Amino acid sequence: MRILIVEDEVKTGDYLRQGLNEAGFMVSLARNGLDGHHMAMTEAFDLIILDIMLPDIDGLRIIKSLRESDNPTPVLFLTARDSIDDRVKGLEAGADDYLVKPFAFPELLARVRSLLRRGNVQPQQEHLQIADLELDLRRRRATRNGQKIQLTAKEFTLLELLLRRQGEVLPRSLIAAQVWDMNFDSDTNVIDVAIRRLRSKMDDDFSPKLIHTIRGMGYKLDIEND
Amino acid sequence: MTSGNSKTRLGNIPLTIRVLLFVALVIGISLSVSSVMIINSVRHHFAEQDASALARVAGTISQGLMNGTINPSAPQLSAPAYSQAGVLVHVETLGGQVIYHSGKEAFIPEDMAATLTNAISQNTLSLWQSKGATYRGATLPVSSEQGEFQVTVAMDMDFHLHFLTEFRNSLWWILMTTGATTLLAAWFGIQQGLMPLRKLIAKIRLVQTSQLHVRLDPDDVPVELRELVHSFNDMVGRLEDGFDRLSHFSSDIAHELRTPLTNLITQTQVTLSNPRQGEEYKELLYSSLEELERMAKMIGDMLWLAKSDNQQLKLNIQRVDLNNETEELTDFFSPMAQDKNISIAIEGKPIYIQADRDLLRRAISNLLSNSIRYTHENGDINITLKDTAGTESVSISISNTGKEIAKEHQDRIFDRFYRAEPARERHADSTGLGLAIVKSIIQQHDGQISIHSENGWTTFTIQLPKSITG
Repeated sequence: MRILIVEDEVKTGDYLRQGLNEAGFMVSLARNGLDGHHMAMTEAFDLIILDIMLPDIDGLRIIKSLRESDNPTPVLFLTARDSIDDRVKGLEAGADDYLVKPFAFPELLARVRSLLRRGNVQPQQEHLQIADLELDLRRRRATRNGQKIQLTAKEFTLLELLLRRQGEVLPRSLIAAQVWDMNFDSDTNVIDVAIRRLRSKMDDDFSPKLIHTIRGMGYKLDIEND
Repeated sequence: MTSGNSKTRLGNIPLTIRVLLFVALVIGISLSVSSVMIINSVRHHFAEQDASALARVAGTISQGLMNGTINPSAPQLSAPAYSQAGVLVHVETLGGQVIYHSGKEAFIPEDMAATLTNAISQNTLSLWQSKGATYRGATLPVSSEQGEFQVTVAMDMDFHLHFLTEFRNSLWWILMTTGATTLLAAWFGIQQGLMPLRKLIAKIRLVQTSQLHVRLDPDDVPVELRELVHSFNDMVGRLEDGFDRLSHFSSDIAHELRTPLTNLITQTQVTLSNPRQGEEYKELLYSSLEELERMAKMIGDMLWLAKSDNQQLKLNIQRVDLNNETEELTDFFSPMAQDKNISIAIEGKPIYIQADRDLLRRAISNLLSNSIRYTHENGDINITLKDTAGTESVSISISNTGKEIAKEHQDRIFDRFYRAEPARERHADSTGLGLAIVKSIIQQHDGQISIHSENGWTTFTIQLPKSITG
């Protein structure tokens, strides 16, 4: 997967490139709007991460140029001003998602993955499975090793989210937003408690362990030995 | 200050001018009225005097004619018995033969018939002019054995008129002087009256931001200004309070940021002071990350509050089902509550209000999180939603069992970084700004928040208007 980052701030650009590289992406970095515009228009990327405040060419211009030439590459833009105007302008220009600076890297990674997944639409699934964990989405029932697991509605939604994005580290804020619609800095302890309770129902008495705590980042559902 | 061109408003006419204008108007009216009354009464007095003199002279003459004391062929009417200074007499027979005429000149006009009267009084006197002089008089018919006569008596009024003119002039001068003196006195009185105000201004000028503890003494000023002094003192009190909070706030920020920064620096220095294993470096980075995230959250909260203070938040007003939102938030927090075996009960019917949904969720969420944190194990949390009939506001109260909050802390619990119990271990997730954010959100919605703590229950109550204009 090729990702273009257009970011004039040196440190931010560097760590974004390193972080995404290590997450397994091929990253090109443009340090100004002109280069970014040129690369976006001439090369093929799977995703473009765009700082909206650039010294030479406005990030919005790049999005508009892309869309005017019928280039559907998903665009995630970064805005320092968390004013609603900026977000609306970016989304109206044709961007797919935005992040307000400063952001947590896991959050960016989660958004990037979600945008990349959007391209290849998965057929409406009725079952999700990993190892011996199975989720029946229609009847909202979970089984592990054939045993039925009693989950509350939210616990099921939480497990479904982890399962759909297995292998990805999901930050607490993203979990809070996706499962409980908490779109602000909420008490993230709650997520830890909710995960602990979920684990006690579907992970503690089973093997292999599926939910993993990634310290400082969030949670991940995966088959791995740790 | 209010906008608009101040020069065109009536409100800023100087007090002195207002009072002087009013005084001048009143003095003008009252002096004019009294001068008119004085002149009239003098005129009336003269008329009365004239009437009685004329009546007496005419009476004696007609008496004399009737009882024969006066001989019509040789009337001695200039005799003191019949005459009086200033009174002119003219007696003639009904046929027009003049029997007597005092004075040198004819003072009676041709047509005196109209003034014929039987009794001389003020009201029956006539005024007429003859040869440049003004006369007042009357004609009395007398019938006696000696024949029919007409006795005309009159007075030259020029003297009186002259006197009246003189009198009016001097009265005018007196009144002008009186009026001017009164106005001057009024002006002086006003200046004198405004003196305490000037003194007050001088005192108020002395109040600096560094000495907001200074209060004015209400007993030093006249009763009328006492209210002003009281409200000024109140205002300075509020300012002092605000300044206090602000300076506390900045020192609190410094403190809140210094502690984690010192931790970060120290642990980094310690780790770097000796070669270590990769695991240990990782441990340091994790620890730093946690500390940094907490600081970032705190700064984010502070920024949010600063924006809210500067009215930079745009409310995204929509219809919100309070009951539904509260249930969802309770659901979010329920794992934490269950952990401490706290039961949460919600009471109330669906209530719809106009509000910013995300902000309101954040406020209720902060309150709930706060309640759960301070409720002891096996405690209770009650959430009550009320839509008081007939009012335009709703209330949300969140009560929890647990240690009460002392009165002296209740006022300040919504202050930034304020903690009722400094000794209490700081919660990793708490920035000390949660309740300040709640208050700010509620105020943005034109609502109110209060705290009540007694009998083992602590209750936060939010009052919100049902609809607001974004």
